[in-house]
Amino acid sequence: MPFLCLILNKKAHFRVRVSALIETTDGELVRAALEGQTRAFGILVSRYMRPAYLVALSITGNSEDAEDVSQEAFLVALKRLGDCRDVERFGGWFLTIVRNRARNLLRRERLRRGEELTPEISPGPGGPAEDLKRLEIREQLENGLEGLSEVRREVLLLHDLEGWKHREIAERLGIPDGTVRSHLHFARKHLRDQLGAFHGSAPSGEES
Amino acid sequence: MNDLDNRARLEPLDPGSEDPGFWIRFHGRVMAQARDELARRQMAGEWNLTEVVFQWRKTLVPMTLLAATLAGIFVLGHEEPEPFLSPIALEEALMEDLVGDPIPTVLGREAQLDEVAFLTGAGGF
Repeated sequence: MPFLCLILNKKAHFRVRVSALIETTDGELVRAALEGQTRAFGILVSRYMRPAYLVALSITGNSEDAEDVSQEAFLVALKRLGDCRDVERFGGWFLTIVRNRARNLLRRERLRRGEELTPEISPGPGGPAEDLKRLEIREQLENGLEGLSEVRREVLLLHDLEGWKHREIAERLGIPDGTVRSHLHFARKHLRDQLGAFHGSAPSGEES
Repeated sequence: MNDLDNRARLEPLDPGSEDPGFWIRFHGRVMAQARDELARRQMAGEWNLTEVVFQWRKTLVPMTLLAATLAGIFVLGHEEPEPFLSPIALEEALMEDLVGDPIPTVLGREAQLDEVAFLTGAGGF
């Protein structure tokens, strides 16, 4: 019986932790992080690490720079957390930091740290041929995205890869909802055409 | 094309799709680098009396000096003047509060010098 209670307690504790992760607002987390609460800052990092990476990727165009920029942006944001006037809009404020740092990186010579987080392309079940194919697809995607404007790349990646809703993107990028939809529409069409060209198929028509 | 297809198409851009541990390492790296700053913020939130005074030193020191100066002026401005001491002759001091004329005056009168006159003049009766 005590063992069962322990399991139930653990499950309840896990539910509390998960609900805290989902339900706690950015503002609450920012206020706690301002007081140095590690857990609150950790949740913010979990919440924004992918969007930060994707925004950085949409500007730098390569994964290594996107990693560097997004990691540094978290540290810069933590140091300047007191400057975030509207803590409930932390997301938009933070992504602006990411964007600015990515643009600065493009202007400067590329800075590299000794240790990198380059994804280890572990040998897949398909063997070296499959790995090569995956690498090729990624390069095609990166090339396809190059033809898009910065904001369209951001919208496309945040919506299709990160799963943010139009409204969330509009809030955090500071643009109208309709503009987000428009950017997404044209970005998808452009990418489809580009990938179609790579694969030798005809460009697609207008998106329904 | 639905959302899942769109996501699948872009998935190779997500480093976590090839390396499942990527985001865990990413998170760990950020948290490790943020440790010092978070600790500093925690310390800043736990001020003791000395730190409070230190934080308020720019206000406290001038205010204390001003208060001390004002107190000094107040105390000095209300100091009682020392009483004027004039030299007193020994004879005056001895005769102070005595009723009647001094003995030499009594003795100098033209009145009869008898015991009664003397005693009456000296205030004995």
